[in-house]
Amino acid sequence: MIWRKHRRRLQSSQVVFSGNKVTAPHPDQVEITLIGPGYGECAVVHLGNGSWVVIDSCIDSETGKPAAVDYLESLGLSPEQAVVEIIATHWHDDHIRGMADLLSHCQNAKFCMSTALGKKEFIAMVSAYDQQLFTRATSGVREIHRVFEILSRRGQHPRHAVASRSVYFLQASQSGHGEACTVTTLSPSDAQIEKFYNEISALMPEVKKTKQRCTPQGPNHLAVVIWIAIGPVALLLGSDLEETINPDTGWSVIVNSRTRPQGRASVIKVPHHGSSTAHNADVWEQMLIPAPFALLTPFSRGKVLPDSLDVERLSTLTPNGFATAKVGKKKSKRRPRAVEKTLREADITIRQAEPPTGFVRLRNGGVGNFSDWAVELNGGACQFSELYT
Amino acid sequence: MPEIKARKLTEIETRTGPESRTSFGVASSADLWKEHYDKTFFEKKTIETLAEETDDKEKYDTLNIPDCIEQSLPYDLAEKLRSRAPYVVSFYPLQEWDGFVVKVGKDSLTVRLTDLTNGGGADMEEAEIPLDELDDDTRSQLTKGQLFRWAIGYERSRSGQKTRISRIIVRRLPTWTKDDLAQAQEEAAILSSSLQWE
Repeated sequence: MIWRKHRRRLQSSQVVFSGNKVTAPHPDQVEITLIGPGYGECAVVHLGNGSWVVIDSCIDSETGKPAAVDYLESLGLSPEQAVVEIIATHWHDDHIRGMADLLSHCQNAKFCMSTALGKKEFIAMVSAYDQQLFTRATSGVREIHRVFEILSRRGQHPRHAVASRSVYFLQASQSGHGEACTVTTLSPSDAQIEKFYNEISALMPEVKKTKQRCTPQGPNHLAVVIWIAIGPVALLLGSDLEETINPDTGWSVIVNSRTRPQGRASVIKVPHHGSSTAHNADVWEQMLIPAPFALLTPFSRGKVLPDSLDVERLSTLTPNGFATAKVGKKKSKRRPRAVEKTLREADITIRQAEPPTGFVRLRNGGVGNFSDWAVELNGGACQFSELYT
Repeated sequence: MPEIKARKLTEIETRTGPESRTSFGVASSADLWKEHYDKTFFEKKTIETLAEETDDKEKYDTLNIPDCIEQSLPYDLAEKLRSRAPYVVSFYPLQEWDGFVVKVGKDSLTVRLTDLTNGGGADMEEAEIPLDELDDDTRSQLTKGQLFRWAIGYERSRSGQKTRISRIIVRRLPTWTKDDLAQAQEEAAILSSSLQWE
């Protein structure tokens, strides 16, 4: 990762800076760091006392390694010892790049994914698509296939991610700050799982059809929304869940659930890169404190998210919004003159698929200052207002 | 813990089916196909496709079949190929990518690329390719998810003329067979039975 120093002063008078000295949090500090974009996004959460949870995975666009592994090692930590839980909220390569390598590194971590991914038909689809395509491009399902192979080889039992299920609990006596920690998955609902099964049927390869890369259409019906409660503080990680008109799917079913954890989160990982399709006003009114910290990673494959209207909408909801990279800032490789000339003649520009990996880190003040957060920006990370500058 | 059956495919076998190995006797050259594919630029064609397309000069003229392959071919097919002496003698790639189509727009394609020349991770680059730069045949085949090989380099003709070219070749992958899907089902049965939920 590239380290840059700069200081900003927020409207809320918190100092935001990114320095080149990175240290691990104290045992009593809570931290959430959103990393991306590499290819996808990754959140790492320090629950306390050296216990870390990793949600999804991306690879660092500079090093090509899983960003979570890079990050934890930069703090002087061993991922094998530090990571207690890995949660996959997606199954497609585009969102969990490096997940298999991450799982390989974190030998002691439990693995959590949607129940639907264990369905035999889904695994058969994955196995079919990941058969040799004689190309360096990914198959679209290579990561999840490798994850299945690793779990199978280890004899490791994955945990279900379904609506209102507690998937990890850290006792107060072991947390370093005296507060119990609970990680709860808020989705997918039964209806979402059913939609997913229908989608898989459509994706199943057929005899005599030409082999190709797996390209799922439509929203991620298995997006796993996560609620992390650490004493008086809560974090809401929105994955890629989009709102739907069906009251049994999307955000409505979560907001209206009577079995979900109560309380209001002070930090939200904004769902689906801040898009309007993932916005639900009730989430902001009922599940979040006023002006929470909002983190997101931009998306730029074909279309760009968040767009300027999304940024405007999010900025009215909170002044404490941060993104892991600015939109559209992508580098190009230098190539031989003849290649550059050919591309210029054809009006083609080759760019890195994602901006350089950056992160937004929130750390609280530990015991006695649990609700005081310090924000740190690194790499190309910025405030919402700077996304399009 | 039951072992997952290793998949063992050769280039020729996947493209033409197991029976073609006996018919054309090129099984021993399959590894050479694979080795040459990484070093030189030529379109991967099955023996059957070669036979079909020998009358189509446009598609044929970039072929550069290794001698060992040509020598193993049936006599009449080898004669056909030799009679269509390629216009292009060699191709020297400056840059190659493997890619797939992310989106087909009104005027351009959005593609993801894996740099084969300089290394790096898979799918790490992207580009917008104007549709005007593609011939009609290629354009019609490049649908969402379609894989392709893109090479920029110099080709040299028999007369010695050197030309800088950019060529996108749609990967004509084999179709899924019953055996492929049966193999996937078998692997799925093993994996799903071993994935005991906590």
